[in-house]
Amino acid sequence: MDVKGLNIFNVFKKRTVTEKSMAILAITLLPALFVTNSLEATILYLIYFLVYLILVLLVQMLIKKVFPKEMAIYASVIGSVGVAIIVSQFIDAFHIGFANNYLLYIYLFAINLIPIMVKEDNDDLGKSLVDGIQSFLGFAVIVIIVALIREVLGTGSIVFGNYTNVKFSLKLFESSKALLIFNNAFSNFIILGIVLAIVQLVLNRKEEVK
Amino acid sequence: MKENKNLKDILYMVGFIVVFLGVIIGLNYALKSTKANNEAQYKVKKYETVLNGIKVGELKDVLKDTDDKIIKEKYEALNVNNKVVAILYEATKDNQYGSITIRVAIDAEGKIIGVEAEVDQSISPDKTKAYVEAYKGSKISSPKADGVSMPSVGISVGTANEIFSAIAESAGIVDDIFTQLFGEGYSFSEVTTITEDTETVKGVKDVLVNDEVKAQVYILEGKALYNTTEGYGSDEEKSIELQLIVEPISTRIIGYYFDMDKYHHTKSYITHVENYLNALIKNNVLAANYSDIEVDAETGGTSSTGSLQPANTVKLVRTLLNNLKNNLGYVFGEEETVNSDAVKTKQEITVGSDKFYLYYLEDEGIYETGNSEEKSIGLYIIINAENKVVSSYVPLDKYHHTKSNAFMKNVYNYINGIIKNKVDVTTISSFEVDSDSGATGSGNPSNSVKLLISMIKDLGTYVGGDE
Repeated sequence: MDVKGLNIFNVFKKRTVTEKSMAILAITLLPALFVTNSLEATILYLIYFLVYLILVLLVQMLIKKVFPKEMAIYASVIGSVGVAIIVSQFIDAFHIGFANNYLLYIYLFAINLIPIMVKEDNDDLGKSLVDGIQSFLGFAVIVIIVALIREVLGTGSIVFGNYTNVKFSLKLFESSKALLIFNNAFSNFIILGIVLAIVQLVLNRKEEVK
Repeated sequence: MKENKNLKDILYMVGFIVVFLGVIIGLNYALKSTKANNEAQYKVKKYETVLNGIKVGELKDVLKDTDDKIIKEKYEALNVNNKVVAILYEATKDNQYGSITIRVAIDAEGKIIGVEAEVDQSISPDKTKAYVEAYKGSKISSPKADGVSMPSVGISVGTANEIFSAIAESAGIVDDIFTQLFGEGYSFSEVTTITEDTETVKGVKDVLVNDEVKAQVYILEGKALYNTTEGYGSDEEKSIELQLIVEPISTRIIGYYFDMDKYHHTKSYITHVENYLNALIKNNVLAANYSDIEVDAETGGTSSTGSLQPANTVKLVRTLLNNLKNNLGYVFGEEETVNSDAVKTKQEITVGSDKFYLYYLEDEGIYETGNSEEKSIGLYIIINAENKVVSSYVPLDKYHHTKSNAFMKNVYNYINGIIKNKVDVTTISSFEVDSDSGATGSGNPSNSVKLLISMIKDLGTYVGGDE
């Protein structure tokens, strides 16, 4: 599938919002959404994803230089899977609690489309890294919004300390008044639908103004 | 040239794969000890709160297949000298309001060192958490929350208690029968004799809780052949001592205790005797009105076929119970059919110069708020000549409302309350019992308790009219 010019995570770049680019945005977000039942887990996930993204972009650039085009695609797959496994090994060793709950979604870094889209859109390493980090910011903002909505509405509080040494607890309202539906994974799709509708609206308006 | 390039590309690809595999395998070895160390720390950290400051070096996984499935983790917490300083448990149970996860540390005697509850319940989660976490310091087999009031909806606490019960069983912490029945604060009175026939009925002692007589323990002793198989001591008689726990006045059998030092029959066959006595308890048999019922020695089930051959020790227990019945001197009149509203039968009991009346009540009532379907409850109640309740009990086979611990607790508390307060059944309309403590008050009774009140009101009307 040709994904050139479809990366709308990078809000610093002008892009036309199409059905295809919105579909890719949704597919790219899917595995990450299953980590959004706590803000702490989401932030940890995003930090590791940033590490993965930088490493995989470096590997992609190496592949581009070393392999001919027809072999590069296979090398890319091996590279993405290999880097995802390496990152997951570190998580499994250093963040046991997080790994127990979310290691599967770390392996699924390998099918994240951001590195592929960034590679397609950029020729040199410097531009790739800048585009990659800018795209990561767009990705992170959406995932954090979903996590915030889920944790606050689903539990009535924001709690840190389950996966890291950062101990923090903010009670916003009684847990008995929390909407338990937001603790279920399928609430991701409801929130994502609303968030994507807003993203599309904002991006479309931006284009109209231009 | 082209072939050489292809070969070069293939070699690059192989090298690329080998490098990745090398890094992955190398990392796997390099991080092995870090992972093991962090895993141990993670487990200890998870139980840090419940360990209450006890320093732990290592956790040893001791969860067995035989443990209740609700128990997810069981560890022996070892200190730096490899000595077990606590047993740690994590257990989870679901109910209609969600789930409850309990993490608890107990010492070798079953005392709760610390407890942490994750209460994911739609009703009163914070109150339930506070109540359950107040179990700290009490015994795992009979946890108590001193100074913290129980949430008004007790189902979540009931679920938590089921978790504690499973943990107690897994830890092998089982209370003696007296603690199970009366809690830890019970005491005994002096043993007194009730008859000149002290050969088999040695005496009786009261079980006291806060100076109130909660039960009576009859000490029975007898001697009989213990093995009728030829060549196996078939001509030798050996003795056993049975302590039979009964309710005051009604003499309903509620428990038993064997002092194993005084149990000289074959100990491996004690299950037969226990099954028999458990069947008597289940069937609400009154010691003063005891008659042999046939019980399958293996299963404890009753049978009317007459084909079951009781074990030797069961035969001896039957003899002891018959002797007790004769010595108690209760006279039970004929059972009369009444069928006046909830009042179904009546039986007169004469004890010396005192007269009591045993009634069986049964009626239907709504068992679930919002559901119009009605289900029945049966209730035995003994009143004295002044129409005051002296004993009452619910036969479980006649109880068709929800039997979960939380609801049954309301029923038992109510029954205990009316016995404790010696309620006059003719004035029951003004009587209310707190569903938690059993004390009189202005509580809102559950559907089952409302039905009991209605049935006892019917008895009051019948007794009033009868007079």
